[in-house]
Amino acid sequence: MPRDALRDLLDRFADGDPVEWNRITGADPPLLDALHTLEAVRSAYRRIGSTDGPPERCLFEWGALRVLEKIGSGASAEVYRAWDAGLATVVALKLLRPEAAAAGLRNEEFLREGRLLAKISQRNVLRVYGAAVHCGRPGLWSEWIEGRTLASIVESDGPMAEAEAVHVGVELCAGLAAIHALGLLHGDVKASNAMRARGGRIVLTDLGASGRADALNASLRTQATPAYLSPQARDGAPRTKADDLYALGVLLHFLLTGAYPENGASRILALRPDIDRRLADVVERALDADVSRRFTDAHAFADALRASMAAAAPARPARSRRLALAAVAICLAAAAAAVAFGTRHPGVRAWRSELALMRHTDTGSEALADGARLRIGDRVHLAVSTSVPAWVYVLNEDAGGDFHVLFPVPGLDLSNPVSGDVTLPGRQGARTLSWEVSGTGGREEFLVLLSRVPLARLDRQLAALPVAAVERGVARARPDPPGDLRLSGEHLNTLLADLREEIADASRVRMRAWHFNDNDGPVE
Amino acid sequence: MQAEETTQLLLERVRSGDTAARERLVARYLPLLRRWAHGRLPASTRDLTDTDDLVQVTLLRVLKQIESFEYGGTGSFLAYLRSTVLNLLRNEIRRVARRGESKELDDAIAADEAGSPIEQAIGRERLEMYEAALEAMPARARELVIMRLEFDMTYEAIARETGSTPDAVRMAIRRAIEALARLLGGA
Repeated sequence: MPRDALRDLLDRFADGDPVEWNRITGADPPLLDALHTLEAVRSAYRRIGSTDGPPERCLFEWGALRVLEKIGSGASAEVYRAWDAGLATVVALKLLRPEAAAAGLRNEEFLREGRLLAKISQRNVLRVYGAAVHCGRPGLWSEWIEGRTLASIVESDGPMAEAEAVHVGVELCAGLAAIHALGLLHGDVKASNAMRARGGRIVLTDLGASGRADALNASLRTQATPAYLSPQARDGAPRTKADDLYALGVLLHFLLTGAYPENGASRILALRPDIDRRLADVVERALDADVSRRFTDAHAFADALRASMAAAAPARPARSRRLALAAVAICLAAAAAAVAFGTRHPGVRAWRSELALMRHTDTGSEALADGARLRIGDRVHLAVSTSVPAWVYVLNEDAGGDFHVLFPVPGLDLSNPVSGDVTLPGRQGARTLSWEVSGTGGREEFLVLLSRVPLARLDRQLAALPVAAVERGVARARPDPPGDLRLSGEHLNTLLADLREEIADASRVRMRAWHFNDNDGPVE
Repeated sequence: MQAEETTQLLLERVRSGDTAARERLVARYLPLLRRWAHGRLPASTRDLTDTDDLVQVTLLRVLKQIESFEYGGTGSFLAYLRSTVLNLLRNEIRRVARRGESKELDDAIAADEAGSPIEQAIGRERLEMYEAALEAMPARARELVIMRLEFDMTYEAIARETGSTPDAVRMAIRRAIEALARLLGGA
């Protein structure tokens, strides 16, 4: 991991900010696992100190757990949300169906597997707290993950970009390595059994099917999902680690294309010609019908995934924009008219931030007030000051509905997160850039989002530009944007509505809009 | 001025027989220690022992022996209390475990599986590694990490406790966390 990224990670962790697991690559897995452990220790102590009481109503009690709600049901088990008073937290409880227990899955075996799983403490594996039999029902309880399954992410947002899929793949490899190191198999790796937790942590879930190979083969073979079965498993061979890795290959194929291999053959390049050949090769190798040609273990798989990205060219071509980047000397102006975000929020370390949209003048630059007149040829930049690392997004829309991402943009010296005092858009090589108003769209709106945490959903939206993704959303109903931001731009409003949950926490995300008109007078 | 009273100052007053200072010291540490102890006591022993009693008795006993305690003046009083209570809890857990041998199978299984909240959060082996990594750190760094991660103290409170500034404390804690993470990661 680059030294700066590590420093930033440690700063945020020490400050008590959430660790952004999606921002860091697994280049130093032991260190990341150690931080995950420390975070688990801290949050466990915080829960003990919190005043969250047990919920009042419950369906039934199972041991010390108060079972609150059934959330899923399968052939052999039911999954519930439950309250663990000892941990002062919500947990997931998987109870074997009485029929399944009676049909030969021995309780002792189930408990032994549960205890082995409870030994795993790795950030990419669902944390199993324990296994027990109460009221004649064997069950296993684990941490409760707030987040989405990879299946639902692909379903709603479409296939993933290469870098994102590789990151997910590397993380899942680390999880499988931890499971395999104990001599266990996951047994049912698939897109609906892996989640992206809030904060970006990638987690293998549904360990109820996991266990030692012999027990798995004796009792649970029927549970696996056909599309993810290796040729060997389909032929009825006993399952091994190689089958987990094959299933991960299928999962990566799905993340990149939204589809499964056909008769075991990769369709990645057929469906996504834009995918780097080296990455496609890695997935193809994981799907090889000949097990001896696949990766020998999860570490080798992860190394190959990382290598495919290291080789790939990172920068995307810059998007065309009517507000073009222009080379111009920037004079830093005193931010006298800067807009200060002074609000303090309890529980969050004081975050001081200021934003000022500046226009270049003959003698330097001046802060632009909301509603000021903006002319063709005007050059503007954004002065940002933030006391903690922050993610900045600068968006622009004109009366004609032309929508542009002004920041972040590939190829600049500045990228998210920024900290201290910076001037956006930044520099390209030796040239200092600014945005130039070059069209006659009439109204111009600038929306700036400043966030203490990365906004994954927004990042995905912006990665999907231009621009079809945004335009599709316009036809939808348009709920009011949060706060008292009044924006006219349809794209901006649609985007904000879509991001409602992600940007709702005012202690972490701050927004500011400027409205301009290139005719006289302020915008209505 | 009272808010600025450092632990060191309070301890000196307790030593010289100031009972009001003793009460203030107890009021400062008892809630912290109680909460901490709840994280370290297994579910199976939580109803058998009054944890709060145990913590209070420990704190008062330590204060009674205050003359013999060499106070380093760098926040080590809290670390000392933590290790004293942790040892007592371990004894208590062993005692309850011995008593639990005749239990019904289901309950015994539940007792075996339900470790302390911290143990459940990260697993028994990981907890042992964590404690070993803490032990391997320099005392001052260890105390900073404990105050920040386990006692959830603010930089300001830790600075008061250690006679330092919040900025210096923040820097030191960041370094200490990195050192602990590297020890825990086996690097």
